[in-house]
Amino acid sequence: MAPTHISVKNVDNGRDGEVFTITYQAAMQSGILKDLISDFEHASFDEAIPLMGNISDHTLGRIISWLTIHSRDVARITEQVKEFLENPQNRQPPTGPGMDDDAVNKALSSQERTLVAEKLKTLTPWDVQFFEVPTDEVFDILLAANYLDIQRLVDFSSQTVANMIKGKTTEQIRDLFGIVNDFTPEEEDELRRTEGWALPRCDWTPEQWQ
Amino acid sequence: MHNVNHSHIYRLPDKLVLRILRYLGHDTLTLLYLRRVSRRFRRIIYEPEIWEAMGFGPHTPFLSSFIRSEFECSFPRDLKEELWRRIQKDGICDECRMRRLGAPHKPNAGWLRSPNLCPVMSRSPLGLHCDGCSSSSSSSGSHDAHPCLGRHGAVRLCEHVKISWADIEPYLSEWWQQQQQQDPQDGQACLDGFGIECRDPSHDFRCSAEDAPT
Repeated sequence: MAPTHISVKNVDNGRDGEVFTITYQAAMQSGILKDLISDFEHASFDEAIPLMGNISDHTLGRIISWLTIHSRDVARITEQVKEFLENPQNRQPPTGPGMDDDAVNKALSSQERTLVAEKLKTLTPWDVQFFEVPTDEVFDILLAANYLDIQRLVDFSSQTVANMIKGKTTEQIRDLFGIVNDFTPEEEDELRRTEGWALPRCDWTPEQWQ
Repeated sequence: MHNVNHSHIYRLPDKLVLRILRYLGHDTLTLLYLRRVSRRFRRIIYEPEIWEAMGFGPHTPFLSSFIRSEFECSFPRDLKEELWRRIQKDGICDECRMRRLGAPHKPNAGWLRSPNLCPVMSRSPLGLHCDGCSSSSSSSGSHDAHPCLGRHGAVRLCEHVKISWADIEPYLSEWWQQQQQQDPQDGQACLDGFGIECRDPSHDFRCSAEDAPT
């Protein structure tokens, strides 16, 4: 029988980290935990599942809170979408009384799947706030989510980082991530010649490029 | 090596960096800027996977012209405007940046003369404020509303004298006006003529009567 709660701890570097407990449902969002739980099927769940992957207690705690908040998302969002689709006006393509039941159900379930998948990809305001942390912490979460195989969290963290980069220039991106320009002066020269902004000079207006 | 040890994004494997880039959507301009950030980004940007994820096949004309960097002229208008805005944000274009980077090595401080200024910067009447420091895209906007970032801060000459922008600006403005009325002078003359100094006795290392050698 599946356990109701799972405990995990980080055991890297021969050190036992803090023990965190989450519901079975929340843990199943992680591919690694899912596998480990089925491996341990006949063992006792009294002991915490050891995790490698060099995750700090702080990051693991944050990931546990993310898993907990999102543990019922699929069920909740499916319910919302079903409710939304109950109104025939929201259906694409619209279903009418003339259609047979099979066609209606088929159209509905495909639209439902698309809508649920779309909604699951969208960051909620809670997530936006979750990621309002220093950049290095966002990368910690991304790496840990990747190790724990929580695809949705990997996507959310990637989206967060992508949003930081959007609209930035080379210098601004270097500043953001603390990257030092590692091209040699010769390479820089070459880049400028082959890939510099060939057309737009900074005193040009967009009209002049037409 | 500095980046590997210090930059957090270097901790991510390529696979994850690509995943991030995929979320740039159709922001191709950022990709153009990314390829000049560092060697690693340059390598990643040319992975065909990212282009396929953005909806371009591996051999589309767009991608090959991207590699040859010849496609700015084929940008749609909104992309051109966005590129223009970003070049403004960076302050100066490649040409002007090279000129400016070369400037400190030139003995005559050529950057102070208006023909050598970045055209963006010289658009201001006094040449003391640049559009590049303003995020506004309007070229005729008020410069006062967006003071050049370089105007903040101060230079401490010694423990007694601090030179702030407020001290420098009137001097430069006056010099500039003289430039336009009289013959253009060497930029070095402007630097030489700037006469703020500290006259505190503690800096006076001249021999006094008392400690004169006997």
